[in-house]
Amino acid sequence: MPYLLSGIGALIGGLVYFLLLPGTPSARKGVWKYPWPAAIALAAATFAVLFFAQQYFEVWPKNQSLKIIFALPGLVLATAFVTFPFIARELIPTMEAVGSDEELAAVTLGASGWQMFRHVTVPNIKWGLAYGIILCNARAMGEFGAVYVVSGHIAGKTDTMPLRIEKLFQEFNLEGSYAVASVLTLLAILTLVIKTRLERKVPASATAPGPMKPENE
Amino acid sequence: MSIVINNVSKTFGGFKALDNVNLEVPDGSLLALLGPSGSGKTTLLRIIAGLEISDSGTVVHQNEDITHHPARDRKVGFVFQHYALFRHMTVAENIGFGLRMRKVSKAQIDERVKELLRLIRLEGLGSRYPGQLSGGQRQRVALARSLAAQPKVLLLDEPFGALDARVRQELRHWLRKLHKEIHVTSIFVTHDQEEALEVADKVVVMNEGRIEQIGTPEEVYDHPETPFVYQFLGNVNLFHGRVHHGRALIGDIEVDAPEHADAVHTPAVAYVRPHDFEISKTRNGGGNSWLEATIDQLLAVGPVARLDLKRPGSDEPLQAEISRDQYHDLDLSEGDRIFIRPRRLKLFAGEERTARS
Repeated sequence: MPYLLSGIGALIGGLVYFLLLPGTPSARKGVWKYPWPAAIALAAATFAVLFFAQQYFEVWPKNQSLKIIFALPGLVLATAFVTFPFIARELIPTMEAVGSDEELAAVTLGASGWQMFRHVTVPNIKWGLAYGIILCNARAMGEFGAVYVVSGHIAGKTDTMPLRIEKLFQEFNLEGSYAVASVLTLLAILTLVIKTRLERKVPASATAPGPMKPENE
Repeated sequence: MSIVINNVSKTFGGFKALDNVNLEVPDGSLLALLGPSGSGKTTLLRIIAGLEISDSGTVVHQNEDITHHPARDRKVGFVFQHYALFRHMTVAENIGFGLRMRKVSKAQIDERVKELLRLIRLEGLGSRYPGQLSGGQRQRVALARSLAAQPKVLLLDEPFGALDARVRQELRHWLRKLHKEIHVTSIFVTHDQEEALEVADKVVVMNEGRIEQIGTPEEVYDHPETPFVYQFLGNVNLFHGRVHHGRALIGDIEVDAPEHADAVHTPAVAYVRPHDFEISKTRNGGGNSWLEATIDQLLAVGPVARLDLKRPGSDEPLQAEISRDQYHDLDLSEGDRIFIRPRRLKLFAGEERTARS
């Protein structure tokens, strides 16, 4: 029911938007100048309705005793939301540099979509992907705000390290909070080491594994 | 017929890349798609390969309609302009890729890779990476890779476009020889008329998404059917005139034009190749068959002497080519007044298009 309602809401919103959209591009101002951000805002509003209203409507996840907010899925979603841009920021330039010719070549040579992805796409972007994962992981370890809002603060269940540190600190368990903080620091240093190692490989992923020599026949 | 293309059209946005194209490619032929950029030649090749889907029309391969078959099932070899070798694989792994994807046994793959390395004369380089090869070597590897799974058709997209002139020349000869050896139906795209005329045994001239002419290299060069083909294949001089009852009046000269016998004061354009001019220092009594011109510039390096000519009362420059011997016999120098007569010319009557700028 709420899905339907928010779906209808989004549809009406979209309809109103395009009905009010001025015909000539030059006359478009404000919200009407940027249809894509407007569409995204509309989608975000729809999702907000879905999430916040699930208390009032009997929503599917609740019925299935699958809780999203204040549970593990909520943590994962919030973390993914703030960390995915790191992977995209690494991968998009790498993929643009590599281009699509090799993938097309693989297809004409008889590779299926999955074979192409495994044998051509992934090897070409693996260092960019690894670097993105490291950055993403670093961000995920340190994420506090977004996770704080959606976590249920249940120790050992819906806690992340920074949340744990904060909670221990608030409980005046200084030894405990310093211990967890030290572990987090060590992990951060480890991440830094791996990141620096990988950084040397990333620019090479756009060229070739072997040294590129000038052309000589 | 190996490949038959029926009424294929393709539009990108508002741009008509292919406009109702019909083409038949005989088995075992080596065909060139020749045209300027934006003429639709690459789009046609990609439609045959299945990398692009046509908006309308059909592609038939050995009596089987493959219009909607995915690229991987079409058994075509495709060679890209920029090689598109898998940079993280060795040369041998690159060549064996297609067979590996088709789950051929390792021993068979090794055998075939060895055979192909011999064919492209790169024995011993199987363990190198593409980054360690020269451009010409890379393109040969790309060719071997596309041949590995024994494709029924070989498609090459500007295969020599990224190579320097000398390597390009070598590879052209090599491709021609290779085709004689393995006889696989091949289609290659090029914008270089010299390349098309030299390598292919059939040339398809394309312009603005349409096929202008199909023929052997001799046919398209010696008997162009449209003004576009005339001016695209080699240098050409353009004359404006009119035809009237089978006689063409071009500038001061009059020639027979029996194919336009029923034309009445129709505007016409005449094309003359630079090497189809006869040159003399006098009118030789020939009356109104000689055109007067002055030599603007002389270039006598190489086997032919090139004359840049100017006609009195016309801004259009003319170009003529004569043999070195004739050039010495005539004892020409810049600024001389000479007379020229077209030995052969091609007349297009009622043609609005002035092909040469």
